[in-house]
Amino acid sequence: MSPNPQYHVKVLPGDFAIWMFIFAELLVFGVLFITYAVVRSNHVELFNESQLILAKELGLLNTLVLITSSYFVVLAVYAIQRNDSKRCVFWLNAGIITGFIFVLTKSYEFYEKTAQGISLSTNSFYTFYLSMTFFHYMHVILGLIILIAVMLKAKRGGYSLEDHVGVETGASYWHMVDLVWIVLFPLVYLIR
Amino acid sequence: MGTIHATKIWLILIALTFLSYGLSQAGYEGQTFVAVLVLTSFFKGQMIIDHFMMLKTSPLIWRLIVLFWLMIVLVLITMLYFSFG
Repeated sequence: MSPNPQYHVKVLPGDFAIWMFIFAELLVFGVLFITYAVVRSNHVELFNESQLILAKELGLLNTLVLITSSYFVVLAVYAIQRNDSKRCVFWLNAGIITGFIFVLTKSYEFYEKTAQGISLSTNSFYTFYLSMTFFHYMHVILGLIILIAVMLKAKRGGYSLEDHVGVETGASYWHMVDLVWIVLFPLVYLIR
Repeated sequence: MGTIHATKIWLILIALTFLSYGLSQAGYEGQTFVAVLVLTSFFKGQMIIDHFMMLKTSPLIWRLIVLFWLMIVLVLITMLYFSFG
């Protein structure tokens, strides 16, 4: 007996429109990363010196938190693919809580830098560090809003095995936020 | 991909993150260090693209677009760091 063809059709997870949005976001972040590297090439010593003041351990914590949050959201997608709404809500909540840990840690980092008198105009390294990480921080907040909306709908029983595009759409956006941080963390905090 | 496979991917991502951080804390810098960090980021990014974003089981073109983005960004960063230190 031939297997069900439904399981062999390759489809893009989530809504098509979110992927257009994801590609646009990746393009913007890509331009920012390359611009950072270009500007750094003219101020290598300044960038290396300024980088030393960053709280690497907070960057590490945020990387672990974001990867873990993404993993929880993957488990939420698997749960709804098994028609298990209750478990889907559980893992979405776990993803949201870990996402909030990222926001809190990053907020503390911004507060700490501001208290040290560091601002966008301190030097070109901090212009990039603050603008790139704040831009990413805003994406994390948007991602959390999307995940909360998806979780609330899942809690009302709005998703099922047959209809869970919304869960995959929210998850795809959240993984994009994770993917961008995977490049941002070593670029700004570690590479020298 | 099942839950166990996702857990394996998550553990590898965590391990690679600690590797990058550990090398940085050990005071490494220079071209070899840049190459290791860039390769680590590529592997981590590829795992997120293929397994978390589930693009490995999507039409090839979408997977290639995101992988190409990651590759271009990392190659240009590497070239700039190799050329200017």
